[in-house]
Amino acid sequence: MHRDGPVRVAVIGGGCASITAAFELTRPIHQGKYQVTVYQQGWRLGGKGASGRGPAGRIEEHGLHVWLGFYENAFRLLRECYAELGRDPATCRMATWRDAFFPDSHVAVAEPAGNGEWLNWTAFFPPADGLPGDPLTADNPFTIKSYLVHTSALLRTLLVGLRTRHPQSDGCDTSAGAAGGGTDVPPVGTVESFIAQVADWLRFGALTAAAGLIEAAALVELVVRALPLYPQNLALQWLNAIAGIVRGQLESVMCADEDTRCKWEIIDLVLAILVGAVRFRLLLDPRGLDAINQYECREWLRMNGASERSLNSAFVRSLYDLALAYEGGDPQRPGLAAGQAVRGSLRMFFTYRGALFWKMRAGMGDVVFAPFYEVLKKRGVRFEFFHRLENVQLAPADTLAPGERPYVQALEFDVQARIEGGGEYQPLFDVNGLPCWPAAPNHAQLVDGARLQQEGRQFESHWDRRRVDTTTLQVGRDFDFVVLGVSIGVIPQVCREILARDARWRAMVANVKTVATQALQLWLREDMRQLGWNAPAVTLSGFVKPFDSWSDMTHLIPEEDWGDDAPPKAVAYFCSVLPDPPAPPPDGDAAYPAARRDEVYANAVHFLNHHIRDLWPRAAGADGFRWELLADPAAPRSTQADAASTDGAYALQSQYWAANVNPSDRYVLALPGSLQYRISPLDNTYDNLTIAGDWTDCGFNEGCVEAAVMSGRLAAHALARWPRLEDIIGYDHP
Amino acid sequence: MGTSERLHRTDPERTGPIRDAATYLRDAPSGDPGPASSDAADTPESAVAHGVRLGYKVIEEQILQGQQLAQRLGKATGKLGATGAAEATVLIERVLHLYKDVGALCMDAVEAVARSSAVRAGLARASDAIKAPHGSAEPPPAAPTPIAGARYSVEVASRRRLQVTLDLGMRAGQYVPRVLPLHAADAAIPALTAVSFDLDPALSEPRLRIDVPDTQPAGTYTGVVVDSASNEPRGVVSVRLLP
Repeated sequence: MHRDGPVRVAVIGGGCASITAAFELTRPIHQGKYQVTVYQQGWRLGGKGASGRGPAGRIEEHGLHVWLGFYENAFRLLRECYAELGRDPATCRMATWRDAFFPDSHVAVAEPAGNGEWLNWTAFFPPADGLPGDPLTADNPFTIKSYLVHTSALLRTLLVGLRTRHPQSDGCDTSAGAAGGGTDVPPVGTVESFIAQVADWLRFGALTAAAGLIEAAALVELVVRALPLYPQNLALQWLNAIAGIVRGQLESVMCADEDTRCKWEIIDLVLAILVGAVRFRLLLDPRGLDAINQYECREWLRMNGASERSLNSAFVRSLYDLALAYEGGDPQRPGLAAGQAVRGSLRMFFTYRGALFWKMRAGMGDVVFAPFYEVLKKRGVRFEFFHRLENVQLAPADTLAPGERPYVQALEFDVQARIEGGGEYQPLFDVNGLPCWPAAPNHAQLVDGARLQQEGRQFESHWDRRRVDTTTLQVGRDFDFVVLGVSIGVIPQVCREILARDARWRAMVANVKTVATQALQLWLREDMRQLGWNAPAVTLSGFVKPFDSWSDMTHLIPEEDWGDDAPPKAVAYFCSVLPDPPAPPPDGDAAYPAARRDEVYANAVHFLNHHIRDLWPRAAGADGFRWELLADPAAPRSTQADAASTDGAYALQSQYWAANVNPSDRYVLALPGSLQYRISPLDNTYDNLTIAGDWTDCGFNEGCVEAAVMSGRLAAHALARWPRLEDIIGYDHP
Repeated sequence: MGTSERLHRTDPERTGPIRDAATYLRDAPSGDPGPASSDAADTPESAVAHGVRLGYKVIEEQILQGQQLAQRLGKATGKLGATGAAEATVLIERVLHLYKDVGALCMDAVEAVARSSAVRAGLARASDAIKAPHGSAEPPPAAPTPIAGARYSVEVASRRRLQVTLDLGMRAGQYVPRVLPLHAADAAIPALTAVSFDLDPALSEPRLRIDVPDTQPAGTYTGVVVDSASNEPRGVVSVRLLP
């Protein structure tokens, strides 16, 4: 790379990965070497993390956004962003990152009780040392040692808890050596006597031994199974008898105590991971956990001894729900690559800092993308809103010099709107002193804005292709390098030439799949305790479809702008996958988004009428949901109850719901057998193009903020050799 | 535009992460100073690889013994007499130790890398573990008794947004803390008095409880934590009540 003057970088898209790349390329260390322009369709940054302020300053999100305590890259950059932003704590309530995020240590899972009702388990994850984004010290959390230490500690904690809470102990602590009185003891020296002994261990709390016994026996079982030493394979029969009967005994004991059973399931899964790590020799495999990405996670756990009960437990279902891991949005087709699932679980449970979850004090757009936008503006980054990429044009193959790699020759955009005066669009507006993104564009800034508004142009809809102009950027004249930060769902639309030439890209598009999601937000006029939820404010998953995940977001109310006229007392966010239709809609089907939105609305009505009582018992009566609970920002409180009582479910129209069906809005899956098709931002097949997003091969190949940030950092490294790969936290990881 | 007229990317040093446990540990990241290696004779990579292989050797040793036992069981035509039951107990004990040894060895080996001066000692421990006879079956050691007060939880009853800072000079387990009223800089502002320490029964941890009245003015309130027995100052509680 050599030439006088700044290097011009076109960043396409404004999601986490793109903004990260822009942030990295404009660091002071580069001394202005990179001149970055961000091209964004519509009026706001954020991608799948975008949010907007609606009526009454309501925060309207793309979905449920909670950051995890292991998002080291994301938090590190966010902290740097806030430090550079330099807001005054005396005058701004969101001056530091700690103002913007707060720890949430409560997690809940929902489980069907078998009688049509649901049990809700709430767990408290104790605060862990440090804060996410802190400099790493000698106690680097991303080592095998650290994982094993944490795993051992978890097992010990769970096992000790089991022993002291066993129902038959009558509240007394029992020891492994205690004898079981009143049991008919079979003759010594028989299989029955051995089984009776094991049963006594279980009954009197020797679960530490029992858990190790079962897993170790299963390991020996596997080895013996591979040794055809005996015609009758007596040893195998013997071991199978032990394993089967011991598991049966264990399950019968566990069923007496739901809390014990829940913990046993987690023990069972953790042990299966440990046994699997040994069986598959993951510690020595140069591919690390990627070596088992061909397996579906449940299948792999089953191979390593996990019980069916554990595999179908609320805990496992919750992990799938949180990862939206359902191919095609079909609950009957769960799919998670085992290696990435284990990596994600290890990172999630054993390397979090501060708290397992971190919640935002306002919308993700407000606390993440607005600060980044402001900092990037200060650094001289230009933003071209209302620019929708239409084509990445490659230089014709016959024009390449010998040995020259293919490169992007031009970028073709549809211009969705022009800005009055020809300047830059000013996207933020003020909500109680905080710069925020609106839920709709500011048409007053647009040329012919009133007409565009009247025509109902949907600037973020894939199915609204209307434009006011086109523009083409030429390499050498307008840009030198491209960071393609659009989502994988958009690639078939905009990278037609690359796909026509490149089998790797075709394989990536065919195998890296996405899923549509649905979101529902409710503002309620009674607090959670009044509604019957007596546990702490939680993030819960594993609940009934179509809204299997719920987070209590009541803390957001002070950040909204309800005035003094009876603001709501609770806010609830729900989300889940949204099943795909049998055939994808044609690009010309302008009615498709609205139809899916109507579908989500119907889902919400049914969900509230029939299922919400299992979470909030007092939110529904004999006739279904109490619609008068919904707070309507458009109506004074005195009129709301009357309107709701007459219109019933129509009151839901005052709330917020979304069908995230745009290709760029779809959540990226980590399906078994698919991850090897991802392409890295470091790949240099195309000389002046790098890619960025949580769909790339970024080291943590699962749809999340952390993956997107890691990918953005990799994209920056691909162009600028900075940050160092060693500084991308968790990139080099088993 | 020809190749000479536009900028080119330099070739990357690699295009994927390092997943191999034997090689992915290396110098601390540039922004995160870590322990420096002073033992040049044994590379971290070889130590890890050796330690992990030792772990597998333990497994194989255990499997071999299990296999021998299975052979004897086969010769007994499936009938478990007194001797068979005893051997079954031995098998159970051994497989229990298998699980424990694998974890212990891996921890030892990787720890050795983290502190390269201890590489030899760590590997020696690993070797000893292989040679040492296994004891009787027993549960893994119970969790260590929690150090009372090693960690505090904070419970806040407030409709307002606030930040709490608890700064204690000594480990809380060594005394019973008591917090004095939290005062603002302006003496005219009423102090926060509903602040106390107690024991969280769910977590068996000490808990700092703070109750902030709705009408409390914004500002920073600070109070002293004392040893309730001696009244000696031990730390500070600070509450920043946001506007």
